[in-house]
Amino acid sequence: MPTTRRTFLQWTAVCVIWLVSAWGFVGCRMQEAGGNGQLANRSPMPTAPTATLDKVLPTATTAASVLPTATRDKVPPTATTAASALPTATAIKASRTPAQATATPPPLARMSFSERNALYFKLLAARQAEGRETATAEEAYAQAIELMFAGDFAAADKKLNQAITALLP
Amino acid sequence: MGKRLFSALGLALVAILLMTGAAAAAQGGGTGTLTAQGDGIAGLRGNGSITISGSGTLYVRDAAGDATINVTGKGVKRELRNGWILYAGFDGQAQISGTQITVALSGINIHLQASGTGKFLLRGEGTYETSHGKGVWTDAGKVIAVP
Repeated sequence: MPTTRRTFLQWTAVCVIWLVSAWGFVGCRMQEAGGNGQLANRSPMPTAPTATLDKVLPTATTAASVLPTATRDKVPPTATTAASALPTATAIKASRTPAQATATPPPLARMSFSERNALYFKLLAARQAEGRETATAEEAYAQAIELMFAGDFAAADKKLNQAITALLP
Repeated sequence: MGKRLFSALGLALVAILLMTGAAAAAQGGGTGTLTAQGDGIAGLRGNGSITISGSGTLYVRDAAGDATINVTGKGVKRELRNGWILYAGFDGQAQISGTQITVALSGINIHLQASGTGKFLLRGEGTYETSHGKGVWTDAGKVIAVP
């Protein structure tokens, strides 16, 4: 084999190996950059304007205490929710009465995670205040957490919606 | 000629090893750390320790049965049928460590410091920082595998 041909083969082999190395390195960096390359392709769910959101404490503790309905501030961590606090639900218009809010199914498909998460805890507190069984919904929510850790946010959202639906009157 | 070819290939292999090592080091080696703060849901699944504070509902699952759970503040502890322990009305700080733990806090004013191996979950609005850089929580959700 001519020397020039051998030299060409050598350099070709080296270049190929370097390209593979660089490709592997870039792959590692991309994984490091969030470990969720598949998530980067997801279109983020629409988020309601924060100005309209009352941050809600997701607590399952029930009591007869009434939360401030007009404030946009975060609910004090020690506050507990009750049925009377339902009008503050982020997904429900403030003008609705609690009866209207419970009678109309919430548009879960159009709600962001934050909205549905807040709604879940509000409904949970309301149902517990009524003395209703909530274990099914709570277990569904826990399953949603597991699915989120698994990276399956679509399935997690379905579980969260199931948990919400289980708490609807 | 064959000697030169083998030398070139050997150099290339060494380069590969060096680059792989550099990438592993950039990812934190054996253990990853994360600090985060925000509203929504945040947690850790895996092997390690986590200190988390905030207001909301704290969820803990100890798959291996070896977790050390230290919760201070307010909260009503309950156990679900599917093995989860939840602290409703949680407002305080929890320090949890174990080999197969899942810890998540759904609420507001979440502050999280964790180290270990496994996955970090962040969903909602907030920020986080690892040894590799900073980022934000999203409503769509984010799982960060460590290391």
